[in-house]
Amino acid sequence: EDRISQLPDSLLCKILGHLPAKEAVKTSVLSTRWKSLWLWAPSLELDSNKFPDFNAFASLGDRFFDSNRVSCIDKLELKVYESDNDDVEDYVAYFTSWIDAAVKRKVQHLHVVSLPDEYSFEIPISLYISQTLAFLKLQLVALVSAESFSLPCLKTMHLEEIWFQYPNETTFERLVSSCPVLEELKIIEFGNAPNVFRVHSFSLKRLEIKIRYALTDDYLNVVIDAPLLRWLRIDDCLSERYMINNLDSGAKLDISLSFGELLPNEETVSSKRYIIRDLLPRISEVGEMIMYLDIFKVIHYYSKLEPLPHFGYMSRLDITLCVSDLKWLPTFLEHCPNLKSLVLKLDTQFKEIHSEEMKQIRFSHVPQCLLSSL
Amino acid sequence: MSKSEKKIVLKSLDNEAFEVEKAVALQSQTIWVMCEDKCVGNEIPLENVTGQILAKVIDYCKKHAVVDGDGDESSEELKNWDTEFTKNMDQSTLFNMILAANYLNIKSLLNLTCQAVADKTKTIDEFHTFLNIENNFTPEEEAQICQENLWAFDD
Repeated sequence: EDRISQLPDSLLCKILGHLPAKEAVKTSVLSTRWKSLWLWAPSLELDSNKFPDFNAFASLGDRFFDSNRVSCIDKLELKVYESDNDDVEDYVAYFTSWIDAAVKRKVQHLHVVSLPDEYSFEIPISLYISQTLAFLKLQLVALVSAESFSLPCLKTMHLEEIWFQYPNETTFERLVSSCPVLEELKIIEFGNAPNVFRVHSFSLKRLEIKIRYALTDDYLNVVIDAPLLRWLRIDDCLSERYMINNLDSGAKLDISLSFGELLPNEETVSSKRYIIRDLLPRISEVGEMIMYLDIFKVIHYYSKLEPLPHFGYMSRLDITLCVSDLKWLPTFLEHCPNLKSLVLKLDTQFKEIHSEEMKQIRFSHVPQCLLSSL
Repeated sequence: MSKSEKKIVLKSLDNEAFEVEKAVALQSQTIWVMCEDKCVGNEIPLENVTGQILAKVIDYCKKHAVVDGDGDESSEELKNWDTEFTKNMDQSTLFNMILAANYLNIKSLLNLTCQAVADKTKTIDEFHTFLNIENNFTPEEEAQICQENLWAFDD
């Protein structure tokens, strides 16, 4: 007995929305009832790799986004990858009209990847005022500036390898500020950014920033002002300056930071001492921290120049360090009086550990926190 | 709030009663609205759901009420639990779960159960057998549909 077929069309369409586009289309031969059902599915993944040619891709998209259909679209994934076919250049016009249609049909979850001719696809500004969008992931597209942004439902935004078209100091800041319920923001590599890259949000709980290679030669200042932040990951070897406001003891920080140098040395740290002096007290109140060897080196060299703040609330610490910094570790731990858990990882990438050397590492004293609470 | 007010009784179509925490039951938008209306007492009759299915729905809601946190591991664990939850459900159970999730308006459960049907019907043959759908097209009609979507049928 086929019970599933007894479901109403609206629920059958929901099931179809969970099938890959190709399989969903195939259901049109099941029976007369199923012939056009897939066109009403509330979600669709359109991936150019799964089509034999661009025409098949474009015609399926156009049929799905027929302007006479007004049913809601919950979830849409548009992915176009490199192809030998020249027609691919036309995808920009198709994508723009499909995204416009999806916004009109109340899209909640949107993921766009646009690989050919990177950044040539400019996100249509209709998206910036979507009243329904809750999840947005953009990869390899260009963000243009707009008069107004309003994304009242957006909770999650992932921007990966975004190009800021017509850079405007406030575009990104206004975009983030226009999302009153944004909880998660992930920014992975971007190009043509404003000099001051500011994340200002009263709702944000999770933030990840990763800048490992330069798409442009910008001098970048990152300013983070998000009082509700609970989890912050910074993986950045390029930005020259970081300002983090309002990070408190309930927050977890996962940090790899070296202020423009791959591996900091005493000289570079000395030249950045004022920037570091600004930053350290602002991250010293977190409850949990994961530190990578670059930031640990920065703090090590900085401690030779200036007094270190106390990490008074820190109860859990996970450090990856190299052998040359290991001897200094007990001194650093003296600044963490309430540590309950410590995980150490040696990074051997930069220097081989010789057994001889290992034997020479003897801690002269046991830090107070290890005696009392660890 | 007293202890008893935190609990709520859900009554199935076949008169089976389930006492659950309010936080668990309120994942259903339908129950939420019923509670807001205040025209029901502590007992909520669910006329479209059998006890057997309601028990499964409550299992799901209990699991999702507990682990709703911000940790990465817990969301991973929850995903695995979801997969296990639907893995061995037969067609008829899935059918009833979809109807229940739709009636109770539990969006994540509706998504999960629809996904489970889609996972079991990756090919057209699977669709025909799993759903047991009778093809009522004439051969000409079927050929025409295939022609319209040639790329989808090329394998």
